[in-house]
Amino acid sequence: MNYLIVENGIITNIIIADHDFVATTGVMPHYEGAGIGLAYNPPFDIEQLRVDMLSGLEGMCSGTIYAGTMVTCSADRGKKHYSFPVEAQRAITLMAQGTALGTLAFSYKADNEEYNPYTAEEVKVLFKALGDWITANTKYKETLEKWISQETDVAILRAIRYGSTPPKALLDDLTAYLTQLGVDATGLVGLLNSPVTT
Amino acid sequence: MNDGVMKGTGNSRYLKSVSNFLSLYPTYTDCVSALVAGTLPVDFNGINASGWTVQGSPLNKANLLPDDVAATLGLAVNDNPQVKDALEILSIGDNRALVVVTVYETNTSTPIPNVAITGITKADGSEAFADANGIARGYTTTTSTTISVNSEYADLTVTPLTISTPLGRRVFATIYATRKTVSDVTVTTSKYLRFSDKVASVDVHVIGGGEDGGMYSYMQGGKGGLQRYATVVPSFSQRYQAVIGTAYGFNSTPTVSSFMGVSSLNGNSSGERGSAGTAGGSNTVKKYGTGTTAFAGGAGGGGAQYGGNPGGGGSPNGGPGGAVNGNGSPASGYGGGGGGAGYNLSTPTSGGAGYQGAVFYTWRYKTA
Repeated sequence: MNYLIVENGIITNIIIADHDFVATTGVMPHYEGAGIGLAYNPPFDIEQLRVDMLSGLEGMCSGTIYAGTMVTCSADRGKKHYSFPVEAQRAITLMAQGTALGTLAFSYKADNEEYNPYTAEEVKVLFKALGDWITANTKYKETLEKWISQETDVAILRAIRYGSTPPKALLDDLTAYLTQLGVDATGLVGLLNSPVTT
Repeated sequence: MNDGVMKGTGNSRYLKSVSNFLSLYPTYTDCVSALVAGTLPVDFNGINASGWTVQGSPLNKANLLPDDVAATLGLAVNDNPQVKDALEILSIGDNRALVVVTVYETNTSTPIPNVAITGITKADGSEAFADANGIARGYTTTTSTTISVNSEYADLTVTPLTISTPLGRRVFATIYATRKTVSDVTVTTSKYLRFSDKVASVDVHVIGGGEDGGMYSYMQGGKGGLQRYATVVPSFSQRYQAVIGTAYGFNSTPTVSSFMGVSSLNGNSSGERGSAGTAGGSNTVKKYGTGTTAFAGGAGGGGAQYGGNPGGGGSPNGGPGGAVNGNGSPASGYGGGGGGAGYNLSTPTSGGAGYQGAVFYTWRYKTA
């Protein structure tokens, strides 16, 4: 196979080599149009970049949900941060079922707290906050997937992160959807602090 | 162990000599002369306890490496293990095996010194080499290891050996390699090569890739690859890159072949282009400058002009030019230039492809 020898970004030779030789010398793959004296500028595979970026989204979404958000369960308790790992999601869901069965008091805790009594009303607020947080993040992830799939500017594509503010049309669709469901997207808005700049 | 502390009273040890000492050295001068000459016979006849504040622990087998300790470390008592062997065993640890490899020429007891060994590495992970006696020490982290002289040696045929290498243990192995009969080698893809310490010199001839022939608007053949030759004294510790240039496009920068510091870059032409209707230049340079025939290069012939005939390819590998409305022919061997395209009356015509470069080498052994 043909390979390129590149020094300081400039192609200095075009050679025939086997894989073992290439692995130990750091020579670069050949591409159509490469020539000695020209800058090393291989064609860019935007589809591969999209695949790479999409592959990381699921983990980022799950991680963000697990990391949790600020919730005001009651005026007396005030605003506190709650993490939502799988165990917490299960516990909150069970407590919410308990409120439907008439249970009035529960034991739970915000991050960095000891367990303490929660009222049924506080549990309902917490359950709603959990649902809103999951819905907002999963829908936001879907929005990012659309954005990555349709973005043609490579620089912008490279800069997209979980937390990036989508283009207006996608952001409007996301906002409308969450509003339609009555989702409190305060936490998600707080997350969107990374406008894409290139 | 105790450090000995002498009282400094001049009586810490006894000396003993032969019974006829006085007759052998009857005068003080005789005695001093023998002492100066290093022939005065004495035994160190033990310790005088009264000359010591603290008697030191004796440096004997029982205190340094008794048989039971050697056996515990897995050392064979019958092999006369030394303290250094015990230290080497203790340095191995649980996660690797130490392999001590001796390299011989096949069917002989002649060691091959200074060659790189594959399958094991030094403690810092770098390449293991045999020493001047053909012995290499290195580590492996697998329980079965294939050991060999590195196959990059151009003058050795290697015979790999797979051995069991229990982790935490020291294993001895003997491997062999055969000195190759001197031959003339052509390298056609870039690779690494080495030469063992018995190689006196290497004749190297490199030729870059040949140029493609020009299209119909040029009708010129491609140049033969640039070439250069030299005799090089190798270093047995060096790993040399043999780099093979590809063919290159018409009117582009030539590709480069190189080996052991001999490069086709700025080398001599192996045949100038044939212009329209004329033959490509032949390469008259013999291999290594001393061979009997031109062996590579040769420029492409020019394509036919309107109403004319194409030029032939330069010897030995240049591609002939194309006839009117015909494409140039490709080069037929290393460093050959492609034939130029013929005049185009209707369909655009293209030049023939140049041929890749190559590295040629042969070597001679030291005579003694």
